[in-house]
Amino acid sequence: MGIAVDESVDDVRPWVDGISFPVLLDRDRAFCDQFGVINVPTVIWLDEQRSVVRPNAPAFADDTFVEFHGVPSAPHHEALRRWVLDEIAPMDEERVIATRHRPSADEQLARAHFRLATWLLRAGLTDQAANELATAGSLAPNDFTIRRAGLALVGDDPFGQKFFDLYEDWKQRTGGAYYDGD
Amino acid sequence: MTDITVSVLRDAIENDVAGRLTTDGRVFIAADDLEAATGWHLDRPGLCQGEICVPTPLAATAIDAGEVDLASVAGALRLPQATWVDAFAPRAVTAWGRSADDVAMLNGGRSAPDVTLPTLDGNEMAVLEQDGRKRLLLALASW
Repeated sequence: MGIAVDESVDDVRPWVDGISFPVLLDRDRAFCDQFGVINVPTVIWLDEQRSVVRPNAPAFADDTFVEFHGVPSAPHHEALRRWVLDEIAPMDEERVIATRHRPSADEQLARAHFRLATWLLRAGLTDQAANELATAGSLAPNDFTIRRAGLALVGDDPFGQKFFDLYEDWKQRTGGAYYDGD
Repeated sequence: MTDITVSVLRDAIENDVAGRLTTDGRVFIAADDLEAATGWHLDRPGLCQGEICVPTPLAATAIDAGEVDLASVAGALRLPQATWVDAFAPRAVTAWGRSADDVAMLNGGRSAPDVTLPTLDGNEMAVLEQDGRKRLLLALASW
């Protein structure tokens, strides 16, 4: 199941053309907030009983951009095959529990500011929205669902120079790890 | 005090109620409107929602006064909040988030939170639908 961390259906459609599984829209970040998702693509594995089998982690369909993000696609595909075909869990339960993303108070406060920002944007109050986005971004500098999405929301290019600057800073801070367990 | 419209945002929910803005920028709403605005209501011992009550002295004070300072409610519930006020509109908008502890509890052990979202066709679906099957949740974006 896909969850599009985007503002509108129109933003998402070009990216999900031809996809057969359901895609839901998380414009207000209820999913990201509750699942602790701070970047995309993030994959979460759930078993038949709704338990998390593999917590938040980046995973890519192919290696088109592997030199950029450093996450080869093959290990994930292989682990998936082993789980689906042979019932081999990708990690033991203790590791699942230990690795789940637990946000800080600042990250949670950032989301409140982000939510306010989207209300202001939708009301046409773009300067005020930009203020709230800036506050959110400084509280949660590693949250790309705020910082990179925020660029797109104010009309900047999320693939442009501002993104590259943001990306370089992020890489310095995190070593390129999306989540703590990476 | 200025009479204003107050909007409380929680995820996709927006509730609008009448309120008042003090000269020092505090937003008050009628005690009776708290539940409609936030899902929490006032009982003598504290703030309650469903089976849960959070003890706080502000509840009895608010019941007696007939009104309550919204920011203090969020504070008592330990919820992150972000507020914007425009005294000229006149409007106040406050977004309430989830506390880090609440998120940690939702993700305690191996449990997955259930979240219902709109589909691209405008219907609704729970992310935990499709019980009985292995599934992947894939968060993606146009950015």
